[in-house]
Amino acid sequence: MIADPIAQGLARGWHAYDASTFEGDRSFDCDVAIVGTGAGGGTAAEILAAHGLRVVLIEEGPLRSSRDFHMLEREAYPELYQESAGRRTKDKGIVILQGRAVGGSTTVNWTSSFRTPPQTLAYWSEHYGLRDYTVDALAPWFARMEQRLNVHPWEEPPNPNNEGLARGARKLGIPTAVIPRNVKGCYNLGYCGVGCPTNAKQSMLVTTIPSALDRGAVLLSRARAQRFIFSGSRVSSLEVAALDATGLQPGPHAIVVRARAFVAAGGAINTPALLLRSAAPDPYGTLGKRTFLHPVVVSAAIMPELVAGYAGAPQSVYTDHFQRDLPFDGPIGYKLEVPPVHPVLLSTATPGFGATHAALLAQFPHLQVIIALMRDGFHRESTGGTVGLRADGTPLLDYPITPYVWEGARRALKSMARIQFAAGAKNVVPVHEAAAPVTSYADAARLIDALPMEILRAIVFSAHVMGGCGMGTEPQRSVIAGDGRHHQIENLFVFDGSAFPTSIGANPSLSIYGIVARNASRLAAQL
Amino acid sequence: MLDGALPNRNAALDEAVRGVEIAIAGLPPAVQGEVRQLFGLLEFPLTRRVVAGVGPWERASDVEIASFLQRWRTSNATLLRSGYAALHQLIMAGWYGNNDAWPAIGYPGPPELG
Repeated sequence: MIADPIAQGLARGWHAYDASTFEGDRSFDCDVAIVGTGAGGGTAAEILAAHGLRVVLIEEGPLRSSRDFHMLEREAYPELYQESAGRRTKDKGIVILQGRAVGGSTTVNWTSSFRTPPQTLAYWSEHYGLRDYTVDALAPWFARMEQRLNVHPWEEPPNPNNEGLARGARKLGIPTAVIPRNVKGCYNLGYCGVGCPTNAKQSMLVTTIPSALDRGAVLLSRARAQRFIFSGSRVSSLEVAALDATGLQPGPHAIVVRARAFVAAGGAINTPALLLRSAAPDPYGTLGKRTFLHPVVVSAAIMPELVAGYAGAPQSVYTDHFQRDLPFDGPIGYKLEVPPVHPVLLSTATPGFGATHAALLAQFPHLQVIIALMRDGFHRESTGGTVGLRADGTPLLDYPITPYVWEGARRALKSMARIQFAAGAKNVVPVHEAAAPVTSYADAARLIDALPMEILRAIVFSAHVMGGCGMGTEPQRSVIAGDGRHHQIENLFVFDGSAFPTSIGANPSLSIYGIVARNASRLAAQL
Repeated sequence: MLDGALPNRNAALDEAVRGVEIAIAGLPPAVQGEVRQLFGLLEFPLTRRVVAGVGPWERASDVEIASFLQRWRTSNATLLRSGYAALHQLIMAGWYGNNDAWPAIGYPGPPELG
């Protein structure tokens, strides 16, 4: 039987409450209120609580733990993801995978942990005045979080899905590298995306949040932060709705949280939306703008051998060959990785219906799948999306895909097909409604050149949402300063991926951990 | 949508429909509202004939349904393509999330934890 640290903590008397069970209105007083329990909120909670500060964490999703994680997509997507893992951009053109549970996206991510690339930091310094965002200045903070979360390059052999990427790239002389993962005693099962059933993944759920709760922090789950109440240039309180039993909408009871400082860490769609609902000062119209997604296109290959992409560490090999040395003012760069191949994820991503769809799904155990994550936000023709609000106050991201990004999508589909044929693929299917399986790279290139690059024809995903409350020294071009403090509201801090002025160019979790560790430590010292 | 994917059509259809209902129940109210509009459009006789081009669903043949899906999938109107995408996402998730779908695709299911 695998020990469940959440069940044990609750038995020890943690102050963790499911707000949907509240039988009346409630109020909480603390030093720091943190909205969101993902990479940003979790990291901040541990550091602030360790400084003896009284912390209240507010999380919209449920508190779930290893005893609830049955490696089933049908349970995990509605329980642990925003909008049942089917969140879409306003024009429905991009599907966004984002967590919604205690631990946020770290509860369901695929564990890939990269430091912020040096080029990205240099760009921030040059274009956003973030002079202390250097490789050297951040190195100790990344090192600290790598140690905390046991981040290390994956030591087991890659599973055949990752090996396909490595083999094809090797044949073409394209360098690949091993992905660092935040796991300890990993069983190599392959189900990170539906909640780690063995607690090997060092997510916020099993590391920083238990540590904060052990130091007396309060956790409110199924509690949606509705709006900050301002008094002059300060937040005086936070209005929170206790959700109803479905966990999807506000119930009858309200919660008020009063604090000396407030941290917004709900992720790069929900944090800008919270500030928009609060009518936070936005004198230069920067709030919610420049939201980035690392738009992802996908290529599926049918291999002669068994791939079984559902088994084994989902991501262990990557290549930065198509972005690392490219200038930011040229065509968009992309990182190549592979995804886990599970039935719901694959069947919903596979174009077509009926017999053609069923025929490709029949190849399920032989599918080798590569994804290209495009590095958006570094070029004048890639300004990202805008977070707005629906009539009911919930967020909606408008992200028009520009011709600049579509050009990258076409190029990326070709790069992936080339690698897959080099790896020995019998067939390659670019994931696009107008594509059919092809048997050679020459045919693939011809096909891809002719594909109409339009939304809801090309299938586009995102698992990384960044920006919308960007950092910078000039308030005219940013929302917060480099230390996370809001430019106009002195006790409001943004500690999550929405702080990034561009995308990262790598899976963003470790960027959030490291940068938030520094900023939360500074805040703790001030308080 | 699942023509050719279901091992035993009637029993499997019940499972698929149940899966779709669960998938819809997990969506936030605003998105459930959009799904309700979509199904309303496909149910109401006048709009069904105009936008889907089919008669009553219970009398529609597989070929008629396939040609409706294909029209929406390849339409120049993004609204119709998004309607197709919603049906595709809900139905595929509803069916392939359940164990009965797995033998046909060779997925062994999650491993046993010792």
